[in-house]
Amino acid sequence: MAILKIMLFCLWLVILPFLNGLFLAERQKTYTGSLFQAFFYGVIFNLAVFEILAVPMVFLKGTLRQLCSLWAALILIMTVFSFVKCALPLCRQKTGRHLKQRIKSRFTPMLAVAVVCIFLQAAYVTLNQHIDDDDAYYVATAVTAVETDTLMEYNPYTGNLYNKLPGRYALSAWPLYLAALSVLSGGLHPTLIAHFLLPGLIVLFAYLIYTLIARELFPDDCRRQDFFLLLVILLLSFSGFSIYSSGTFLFIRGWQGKALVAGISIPALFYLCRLAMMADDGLYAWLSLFCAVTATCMFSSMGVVLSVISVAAYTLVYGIEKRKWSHLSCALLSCGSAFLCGVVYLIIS
Amino acid sequence: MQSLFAETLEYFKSYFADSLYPLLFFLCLVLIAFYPGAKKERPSLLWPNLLFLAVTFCPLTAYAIMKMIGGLVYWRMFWLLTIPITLAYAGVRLTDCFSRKTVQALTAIAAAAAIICSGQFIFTENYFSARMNYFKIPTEAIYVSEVISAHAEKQEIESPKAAVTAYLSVYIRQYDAGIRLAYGRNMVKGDVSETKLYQEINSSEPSVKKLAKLVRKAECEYLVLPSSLEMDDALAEYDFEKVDAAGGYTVYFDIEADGE
Repeated sequence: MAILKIMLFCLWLVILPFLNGLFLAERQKTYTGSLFQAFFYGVIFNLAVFEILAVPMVFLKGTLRQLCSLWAALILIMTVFSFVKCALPLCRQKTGRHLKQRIKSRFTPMLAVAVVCIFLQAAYVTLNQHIDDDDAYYVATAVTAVETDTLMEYNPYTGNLYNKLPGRYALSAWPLYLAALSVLSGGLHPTLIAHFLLPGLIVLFAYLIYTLIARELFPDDCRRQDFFLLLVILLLSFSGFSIYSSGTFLFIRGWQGKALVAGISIPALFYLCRLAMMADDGLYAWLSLFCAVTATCMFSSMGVVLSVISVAAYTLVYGIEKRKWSHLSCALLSCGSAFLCGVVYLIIS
Repeated sequence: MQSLFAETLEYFKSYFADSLYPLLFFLCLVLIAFYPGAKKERPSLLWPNLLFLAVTFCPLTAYAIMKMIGGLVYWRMFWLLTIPITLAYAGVRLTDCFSRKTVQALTAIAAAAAIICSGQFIFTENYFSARMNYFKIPTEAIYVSEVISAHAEKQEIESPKAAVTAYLSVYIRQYDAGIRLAYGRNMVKGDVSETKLYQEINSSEPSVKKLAKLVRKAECEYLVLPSSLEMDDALAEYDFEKVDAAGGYTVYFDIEADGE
């Protein structure tokens, strides 16, 4: 039974995002057929859809089951569409032998060391624990949502009904996403998901983004890509100089939304801003950036501010560098969800 | 204005502590600024990072951002600096400065050594400890939750409410959100009687009379105290029945609450 639940968990967190991402990735001009890239787009797309559905439902006092049904239905429709349109043709083109050849040609000793280090880090954060008191809010919100089948209607500290919505927290649906994963995986405990299953996966996902960045910074240069990745591994491994550093947050409390802002969103925004503005990757690159900004808002209210500052800085720099401001409107639109969150927060506070 | 700058500087110091990462970061920005091979990456690695620093340290923008996110978490602005990407990119470019393979390899080793000496390894017992259970919460909180929920089920109490110590109050609802608590973590927005209960339950020598009165006032069916206090008999006089002891804590049930 537990294995079935974990398989369902993997379906929602790994397989479906990958299939969805294929559709988004194949529509980007610079897409090179990378499966990592497809998975990355799929994850941010699924998260963005969740945030877009969850926040209005919190205000409309919907139930967790309703939110799960709606989100699952949308994701499954998108998956079927993406499977027929992209995955089937891809399967015909790329056989198992093709993939094997690709992995063989890409293999270098430096990459092997990097992969081993990454998996060791993921295993370490999975097998060891860091207890953080902030979970009394974040994780308890997820457990409360599952227990009561509500969306942020109860105070997670005490279990009493809220007199009013919990301000900025109501705009970041990450704890509800943990609750939804619990429901959709057949009842895996949200604390088990947050503390045991997610931290390792989050570390792997962070390195996946750094791998994409390496490919973007050093295209067609495997040696430099691998060395870049090794240095990133080293830098993150030695970022324990303070409890505030983004590396520390990523490793010690990767299941919390704010850690995802530090460890996932900032490199993801860097990557997507580069693609959208520097590589001029077209409409779907902007759509991906919109998804990343929305996912960042979902992680934490801090993400609302940081994502806007981040996109604004890249927009300004690329505007001045290229003397081209046509992407300004796209950049503004890609931050639409963050602006909306800001306005709603001002109204409710 | 000056105080805002000083405050930001303090955040900067706490963020980087004793590490030499800021120095490495600055040197890497200089390398990217002047190394011809890195010219293409200046719009994504050099200028945005300088802009982030300017926005973070400028008192006007600092004031506006602190108003939005709150001054206490302003250090999170330093997350915007793409330190791993910039440093790793500069490290790769540094090896490109040399054409001989052996010198390149030595440069790579020097870059790695610089990182190791500048930072602090994170996978140590400073940050991590051995896992107690799959939930990664203190096991005593799981034991206490199990005792309360099993007893409440027998007593047909749909939504049991418990008064527990401050330590347990952080973890119980992470395991079982069906248990309500008298007060939350750090007594968030508690009223006067909740504050009194918090003080009494967490004192080293709680008064049984006061405790019984406050627990009833808070409408709790359960009271959880450290077993080391040995208050079974004293609490029995006030109609609190010992349910079970687990993980160093004893769970008491208010018989009067049962009668209501």
